[in-house]
Formats: sequence, structure tokens, C-alpha cells
Amino acid sequence: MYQKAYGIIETLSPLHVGATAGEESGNLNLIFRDPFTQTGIIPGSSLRGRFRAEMRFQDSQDEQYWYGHEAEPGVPDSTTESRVKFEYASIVWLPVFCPGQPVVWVSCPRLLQRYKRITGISAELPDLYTASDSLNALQIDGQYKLFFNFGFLKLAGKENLQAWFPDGQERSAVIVADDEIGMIHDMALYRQSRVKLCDEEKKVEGGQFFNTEALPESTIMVFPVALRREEELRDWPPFGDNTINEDEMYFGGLESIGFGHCWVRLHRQLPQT
Amino acid sequence: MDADRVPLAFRAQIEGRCQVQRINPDLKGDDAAHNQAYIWVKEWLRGALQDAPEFPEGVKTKEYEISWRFVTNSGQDDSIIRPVISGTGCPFYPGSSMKGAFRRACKSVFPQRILQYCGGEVVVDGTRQTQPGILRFHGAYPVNHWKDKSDLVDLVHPQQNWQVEEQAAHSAFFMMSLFQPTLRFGISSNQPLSETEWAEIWQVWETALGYGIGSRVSAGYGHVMDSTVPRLLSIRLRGEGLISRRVNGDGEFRPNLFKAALRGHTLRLLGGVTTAEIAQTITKRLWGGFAGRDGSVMGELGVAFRCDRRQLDEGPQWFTLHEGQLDILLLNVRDEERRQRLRTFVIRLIKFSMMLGGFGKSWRRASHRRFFSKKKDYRRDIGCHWEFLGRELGLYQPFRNLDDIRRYFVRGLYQSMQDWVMQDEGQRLDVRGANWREAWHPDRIQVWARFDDDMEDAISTALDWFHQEQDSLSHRSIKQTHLTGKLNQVGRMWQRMYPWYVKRDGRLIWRGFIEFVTIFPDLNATGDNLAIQQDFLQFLDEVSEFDRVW
Repeated sequence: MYQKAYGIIETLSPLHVGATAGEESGNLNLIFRDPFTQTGIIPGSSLRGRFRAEMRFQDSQDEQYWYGHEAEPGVPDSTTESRVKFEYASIVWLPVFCPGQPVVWVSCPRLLQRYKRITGISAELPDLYTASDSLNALQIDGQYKLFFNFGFLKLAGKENLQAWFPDGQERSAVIVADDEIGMIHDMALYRQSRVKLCDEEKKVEGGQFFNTEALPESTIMVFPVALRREEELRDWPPFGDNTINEDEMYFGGLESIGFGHCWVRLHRQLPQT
Repeated sequence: MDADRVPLAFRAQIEGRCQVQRINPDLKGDDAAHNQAYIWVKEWLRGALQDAPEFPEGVKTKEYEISWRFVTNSGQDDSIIRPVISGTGCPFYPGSSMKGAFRRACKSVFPQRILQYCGGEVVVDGTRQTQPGILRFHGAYPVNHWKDKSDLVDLVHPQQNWQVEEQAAHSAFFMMSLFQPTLRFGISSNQPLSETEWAEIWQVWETALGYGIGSRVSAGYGHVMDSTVPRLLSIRLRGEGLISRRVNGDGEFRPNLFKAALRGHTLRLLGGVTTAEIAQTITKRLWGGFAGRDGSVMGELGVAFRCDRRQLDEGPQWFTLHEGQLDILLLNVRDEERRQRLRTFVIRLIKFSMMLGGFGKSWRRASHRRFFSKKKDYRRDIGCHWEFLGRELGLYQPFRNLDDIRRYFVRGLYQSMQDWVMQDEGQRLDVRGANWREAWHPDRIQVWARFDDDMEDAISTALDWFHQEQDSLSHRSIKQTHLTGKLNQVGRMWQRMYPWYVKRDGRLIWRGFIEFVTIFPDLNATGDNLAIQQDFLQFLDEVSEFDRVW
């Protein structure tokens, strides 16, 4: 049985983990999405690669030991298994800005279910269209409604959703159905048109026009980590040494223009001794 | 109906449903806030966070103050030009824009470091590879009070066709820009750098800021207070005049009026010596513009304006600027010889603008507050008056007598424009000029002048003709005729009180004012209009104190 841990990511800037080539839609570079809910994810391989690169900056650490030995050309059986297994990071809460109302964090049962499974919290899954106590919504004809750009969402009831936020904060939040979150997610993405300007003067170089989408800042994500033995989990030093459990990291692309900046916190679920 | 509660940002942009950029002519003054642009902003701001997000730890930040307005186009709405809006509702200057501007400036400051800072393509063993740079550009957020909705709603009003060429239709549009924001920019590096190197990195960024950031920089948008951009000329001046208005009636001194005036005069003067098409082409090369299917043309010159806020009194109708600095920027000129030639050209242009036109709203008339005979007697503020300050007094053309003025119009202006078209631009002349109402052509224009040696209380003679009923033979009223123009019809006369200087022993001595009246007679006038026009020109010639100088 593996030793379990999990990581919480909060994006500090837009996060763009690009989809595979061939998935572009016209000149829009899409982000990688989970096929079930159509929401953005960070694949486990991206996580592992980033952690591995991070360890290269640490002189005293051996990335090959923790994250597997890479293949050497011409040497058979040169690879080793990674001691740390990463699964993909999925969204727990996605902040949505809509004109006329404060930012609302949105999630759906499937995403919350995964969060619950990974973190082991005991809270009951809230009903559909439940809003958090602190949500200020428009009251139209006695009915609380939130506007998302495909229409109005009627809210069912309110309850305290603090347990579902990793930091225990009460935020303005609402739960929508698994088949609706994709739509809301797509309107919440940070979108930007980019143009390439000529080298010599400030005007657009013909045809050099493309669009970028990215998860917005303040998105909250979760990813599970597994290690084989208890002492490995105790000794694993992802952020420099094994007593540090949180740090800033960069994930995904477009780092040089301010994308991908994240806060990562590791929760080692060590048995109580 | 829920459909009517949908925020404007998500409505179809069609008439009757939503047209954010349209200015509704029926909504004036206090009602302006019912224009959709104001509602759009109100909806945007209602839920937006009060304070700009903080850059995370490890990001180096610096703040810079923008001298007037700042506009970037997110490209996200086909309905309105607006900034990128971040996840919390705060406007945002994207890191990608910042990186592009930085890379361009880096070329001139530390050309060898572009690859290190910004990345690029390198050739390794004959294959091209992308190499990342070490810096990350986090963009910028406004950190001062940017949330006053009436400040955010800006307008664009292209009126060249209407003012120079013909009475073509013209209309203004809304756009969203930030008014005097203080922007906090963030840069971080993926490896530790020394303090010295950070100082050099910010030096590159300040160079980039010097050129202006965002859109419309050539009209004065996106400049920082202490800009370092290469300047062709800096001119200190003072002025007073009718204040520009926002749609909701608030006054705002808008520095883009200088570019509008200089660009318009460039067209007029060139349109007097060559064809319309060539005049347009040269004007676009100098000041930028759109070239139809070929996209846009980046101009060689830009305009920025700065003044200490304490030097500017903005009243409800009238502004008085005690001292300001107009900078003509070099945006894109590498050739030193061309720079020198441009300098000569721009000095001619500025001299001309000061002598016969003014700057800003109601520029075709001298300030009524200052020069109208019955100061208490006119109903509303009209006109403007500008003067050079300090060393720039040398930009006044000294005149001893009428012949000096006549010589200046032929040699200093008309012939030098011909030389510019032929020698500097390598284009052909056309004796007929462009077929525009205000092309500067001897057949289309008459300039009349009168010396007035009253230094302190000079009074305009011509303003009485515009406003007073006829009371004597020496006063011919042309009140409310096609010559003076009216609302929504540009008149055919300019009138100016130009400070009169003479040169003695190499020094400029102020003697009073020269009153200039410029007339563009209607060459197709018929009936009453023709009679009024002929009658008035005859009066100028035989009765008035004015003499024709061009």
C-alpha cells in the first residue's frame, strides 16, 4: 500500500498548460482539459518534470534518486522507477469574474468528489446549486440568481462551505452540475489576444495574430502524491529540505510573460506517532 | 424579463439591444450617464476588487505615473476598445505587451543581452532551437484610484475629413482608457541577479516607457511623467481656451489636441502644392495613419505633452495653462540627416500653427475673453490664445512690415513645402493642389493682416464683424453667414491675434499683435452667399484696416 500525500496549488497568475499539438482551434492555443468535466488540469508528467527541475537547483539533492533515472543512449536498462508518483492536478475551485457581481468561486460534484477522495475530509457533498453563506447574489423576484454569460443561475440554498476550501476560508462560492461547469469554466478563463509586432516599428507584422487562454489567477487545484514507504514520504525534500512544505513554483508555459506562477503546499499525511 | 438584466458586456452588439461604443446624441450633460458606455463601466466595476492584486514575493516591482491617459486594447470585445481585465476585475497591462516593449528597448540599450533576458532562437549544431530568457514579465496593475467611472470613459473623435477636406460626416466613439494611472510593473528572474544588474534591467524598462506604452502613443497616450524618449523638439508654451468636454459634460484638458492640429496643418500645407493622394501619403509617413488594406503606417513623429498640474487651471468652460511643455517625439527615424530635415519641417509647422491657427477646441478664433471689444457682451466662451515661453520665443517670426509677411508666406511656407515634397519625399508637385476646402493654395485662400501696437489691451477688429450687427460703414457684419460657420458647419474663416515681434540687433522685441484673418472663399458659392462673399472681400480691400498678404 502506498503512502499518500497531496498538494494544493493556488495560481498567483494565469496558468497555461498547453494542450497537445493538433488540438489548437484556429489560432487559439488551448489549455489541457480533463475529458469528463472539460476543465483545465496539470498532467502528472508536468508536475513531475517541474519538481525534478526544481531539485536540480539544490546541490545536495539527487533528482535521479527521487524522480527516476533518465534513459542514457546506448546503455540498456539505464532507467529507474520514480520514487514519487504524481497524479494530475484538477481544479477544486475556479474564480469567475462577471460584471456586476463580485468574484464567485465555482465547482461541481465531480471535482469536489475527487478533492474529498484525495484529502480524506469528512464533509458531506453539498447539493447542486448550493451557495456559500457569504455569497451576495442578485435578488430577482424573490429568487437569488447569479449571472453567468449564458444566462442566470437560480440558487437553491445556502450553507457553510468552509470545509471544502483548503485554507478553511469562507468565500463566495456556488456548486453547479458536472455538465455545466465546462461552460462556466470557458468564460472564466483568462483570455488574451497576442500579436507579433515588427522588429523595426510598432505595428503588427502581417498575420502574426494568436490567442491564448489560461486558468485565471486564484484558481485552487489539488493533486495526489504517492510514495512507497513511510520514511520516503518523511524524507522527500521537494522544496529544498524535508522540513519545508510550501513554496512558489512555475508550471506550464509562457513563463516569461508572467504566466504559471503558483503557490504549492504539500500535505504529508503521515500516521500520527 | 431576465434578458433585460443581462449585463451589457454579454449582449449582442446590435441596434436596440446594445451598442456600447455609440454616443447617443440625445443624452447630453446630466443624462450622459445613461449612455451605455457608462452603464457598461458601472456593471464592470460593481464587483471588481477595490485594490489591485499584489505581485507575489520575489517579483521586483516599480511604480510609474502616466502623464495623461493610458489605453491598451484587449482585443476581446468587438464592440469597444478596453483594457484586459484580470480575474479580479482590475484592469491589467499584460506581461506579453511588457515583454515586447522591453525587448525593443533592450535592442538600443544592451543589444547583447536580448537573448539572455528575453530568449530567442539560437543555432546549435546547425539546428535552430528556442532558448528561453531568464526574465519574467508580470505586466502591471494600476495602484492609484482608477475606478472613477467618468474617468474611464474616453472618446475617439476622428475629424480630419470634416475639418480639412470636406464637410464629410464624422462621429465620435467611446472607448475605455485609464486616466492618469500609477502603474506598478513586475519583473522577476529565474536566477539571482545583483542589485547592479537589476538597476540596469529597470533602466531598459524605463527606456521602453520613454517611447510610450500601449496604444495611441503618438497622440500623447501612455507616456510617463519624466519620459526619456528621443525628442526632436521641446517647446514651452502657455495658453488659454475652451476646455474639451467629456460626453457627461466634465471638462478635461486633452493633450492629444496638439497632434490633431499639427497633423491637420501638415495636410493643409501639403495639399496646397501636390495632389490629395500624395499629401495623404506624406502626412501618413510623418504622423502615422491607416493605409487601407496594407494595414497601418507607423509615423516618424509623435506628440507628448506634460505640465505640472498646478500650472493648469481647469474651469467649467475655460482652461488656463500657465506653463506646459510640448514634446515632438522621434518614433522611428534612424537617419541623422532626416532628423535634421524633420526638425526644420516641424519648426515651420509650429510657427504656422501659432501664427494662423490655434490648438484645441474652437481653434479658429482668438480668445474672446482676451480680445473681444465688449468682453461682457458675448454669451459664451469662444476661441483660444497661445504663446511661446522662454527660449522658444525664437519661434516667433519677426515682421517689420507687410512685405515681410508677404515674403514669409511665399518663401518660408509655400516654396518650402514644394521643396519638401520634391526633395525630401521625392514626389511630384501639382499646381492645382488637392481639392479640399482648406488646402493651402493661392487660389483657395486669402490671408489679411493688420498691425496693432497696443501691447496690453489689444482688441480684435474682426471679432466685431462676426458678432455685432452692422453699425457703421467701417464695420461690416458677417454674423451668422456661411463665412463664419455655425454649429455642425465649419466656417470659412480663421482669425488670430499673433504676438508681433521685431528683430533689432539680433534681439526679439515685442511690439504688440498682428491680427490675421484667413479666408477660404467658397468657390462654388451662388446667390446670397456669393453676394455676401464678394461684398465682404471688397470691404476688406477698400474700407478695412486690413491688407492682403497672401
